[in-house]
Amino acid sequence: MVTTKLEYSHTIGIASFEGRGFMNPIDIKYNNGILFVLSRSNASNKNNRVSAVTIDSEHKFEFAHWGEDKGKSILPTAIVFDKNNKLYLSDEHLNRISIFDCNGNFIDSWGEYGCDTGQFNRPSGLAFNKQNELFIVDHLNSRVQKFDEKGKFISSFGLFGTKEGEFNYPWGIALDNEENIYIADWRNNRVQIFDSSGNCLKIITNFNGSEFNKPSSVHIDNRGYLFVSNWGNNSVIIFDEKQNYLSEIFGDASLSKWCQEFLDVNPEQSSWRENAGLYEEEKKFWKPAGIETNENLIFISDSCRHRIQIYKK
Amino acid sequence: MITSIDNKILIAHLLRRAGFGCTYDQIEKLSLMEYDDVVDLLINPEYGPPKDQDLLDRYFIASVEARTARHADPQWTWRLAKSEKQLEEKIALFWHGLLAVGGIKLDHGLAMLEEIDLFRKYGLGKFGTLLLKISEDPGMMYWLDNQNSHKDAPNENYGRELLELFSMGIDENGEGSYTEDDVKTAARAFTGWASRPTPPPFFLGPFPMEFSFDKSDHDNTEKTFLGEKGNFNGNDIVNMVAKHPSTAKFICKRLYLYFVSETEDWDEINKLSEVFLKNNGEIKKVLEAMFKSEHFKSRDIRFKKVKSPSDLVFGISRLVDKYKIPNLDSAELAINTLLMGQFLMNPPSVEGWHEGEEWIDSGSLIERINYASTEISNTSSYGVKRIIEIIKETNISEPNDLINRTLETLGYIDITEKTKEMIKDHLRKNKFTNKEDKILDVLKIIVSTPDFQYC
Repeated sequence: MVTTKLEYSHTIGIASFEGRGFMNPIDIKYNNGILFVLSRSNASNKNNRVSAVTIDSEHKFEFAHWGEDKGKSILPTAIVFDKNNKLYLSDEHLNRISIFDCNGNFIDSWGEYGCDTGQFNRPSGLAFNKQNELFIVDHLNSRVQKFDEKGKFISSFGLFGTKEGEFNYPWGIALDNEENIYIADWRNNRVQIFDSSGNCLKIITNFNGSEFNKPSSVHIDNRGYLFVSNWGNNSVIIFDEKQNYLSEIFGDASLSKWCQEFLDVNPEQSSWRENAGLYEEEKKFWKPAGIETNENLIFISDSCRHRIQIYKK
Repeated sequence: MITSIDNKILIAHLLRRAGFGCTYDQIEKLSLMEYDDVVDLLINPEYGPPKDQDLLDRYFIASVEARTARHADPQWTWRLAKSEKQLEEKIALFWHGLLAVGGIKLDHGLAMLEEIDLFRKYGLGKFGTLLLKISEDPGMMYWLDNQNSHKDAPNENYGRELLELFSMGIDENGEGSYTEDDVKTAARAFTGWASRPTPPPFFLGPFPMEFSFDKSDHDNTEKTFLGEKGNFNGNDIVNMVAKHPSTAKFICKRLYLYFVSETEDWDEINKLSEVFLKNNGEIKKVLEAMFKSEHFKSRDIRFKKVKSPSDLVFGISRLVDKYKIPNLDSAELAINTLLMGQFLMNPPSVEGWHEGEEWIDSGSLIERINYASTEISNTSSYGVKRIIEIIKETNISEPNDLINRTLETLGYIDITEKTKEMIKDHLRKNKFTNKEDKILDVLKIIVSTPDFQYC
């Protein structure tokens, strides 16, 4: 078996309730040189938001903060860009899809609670196909629904269960170049691959002799490589375009630029960190979620460490 | 001769005290068992995470790396509101109030959750084991400054609270069985016990706290404690304290006040103390004797204890059966107990909460009534729908019958005759457009009465 070790590049992020930094980032998308990071935050602090940052740690702007009004979010789950550079955001509390331009300006929203066709019960992962049709993992309805970009229902597949083609609290979604659909079937501890019509093609339950533990996110890069966030085991697993296992990573984070700056101006905190000396622990993923790639880099949202770990392809 | 209805009434009483109460249907199901068998079921929970732990973690990811007590809330409140192992949560709350660690000073939600879980795991076992575990709890060590207790300069904080508030306490005559020198010796024995330093949480979130023992900073010399001489360490102190008759009395008094009555009954407490000593401090044996006693089951004990904010909030949550899976509302349940005066995972001091009538003042009473009234009127909750359905199934026309049936569906609760007359009068004076509105009105009135503040 051929295994490859990814080369770590650098880390972006610092725990922050607002402004520069993230609070439990669970999804990430790259668009025209900017990383859009979705912070989930928590019920009491209510600091969820989408932050726009550069790969060099320049904080640009943020939007989609806490609230029920249009352009706001409560429990956001995923983001995705369509082919017109519009950002779509799913919210599992509001059962709503919100649309923004790439400057964070609100455009539109749609969606309502329910189990009928076109309705949602906690929408999570999002993905567009080449026809600019949006796939939404409607996770408590145990199905994947397809809509046009305006929110008009087209089709759906899936139902609750553990058999082939069934889902148990599914979460992330990705499409490959042939428009096959990959679903992180979270509570079934597997990744299911479907054709564009929703017929199950393949099920991946293990890798390198191990089983998945609550996979949260899937991503396909331009080579067809499959990345899976093995959320329950705090690792990311990489497969080649034929789903052959390549490697598993557990995190290699160094101090981000923002963290270093924080410690530089807070010598007491820096001393506290040195006294603890948990440098190896600091490197590790803690509940990795959304994964994104561009031409050269792999971005992994490290949700409980409030940062994005970046690797070279 | 225990009748079927008596059995239901007793089981409902047991569930309100050993847990947070339950629905009419749950009482029906449990009443197929003998009362003593229900006690046995409650005192023998199988330790382990809830089946929906993964959902809690997924939906409330910030509670996985809980930076503060508030961040940790969704984890514990879900179990308080939903766990089928009710006594496991109730005893955790008891120990949380007795072996109290304040979340604001500790400022580490992860450590608080670890501590609550410690109470679940060891809270019904031998008290000596629990006391040793809490003495090795990094949150407790930090909270009571034991990291500042050194061989050459012992800090007496932990040693003092261990004896005064956590174990031996004071007896019915208001006197302790230990001396000031014993406190100093205990402090010396615990030198070197601390928590490992962790990185600050302000840039990467928190890291789990761990216990540490620094042998080089431990007073390794001979000591005198409770009249005995030896080179005692913290383990020895815990062992000596845990088997002391004063500890048996103190712990049993606190258990009695928490589970049975706010008025000390030393005859009953002494009986429990004997069980404690005979069973090497095994808490489940004490609780078994307590719950199976005629004293606990007597009518005089029922509905005389003021519900704590947790009793009220999680009791209502269970009654209305509102949550199927964790959601934003369940994650924020702790706000309700906070508004009523109980900041979970942040007791006001090392003494824990002052229970009983002190829970209620004009402000908290309004919060209690508003919360209960709002929840019981929410017909989207499964439990409310079910209560209405059960009452409708019984063809009732008389106000008195309606009130009595409603009291049964609320868990065989009691209200005074005066309150009943007031509700009857209300029903006579008002017209209702349909039966459901009438039932909802009675439900709202009952949960708004002073009687409902007692369990």
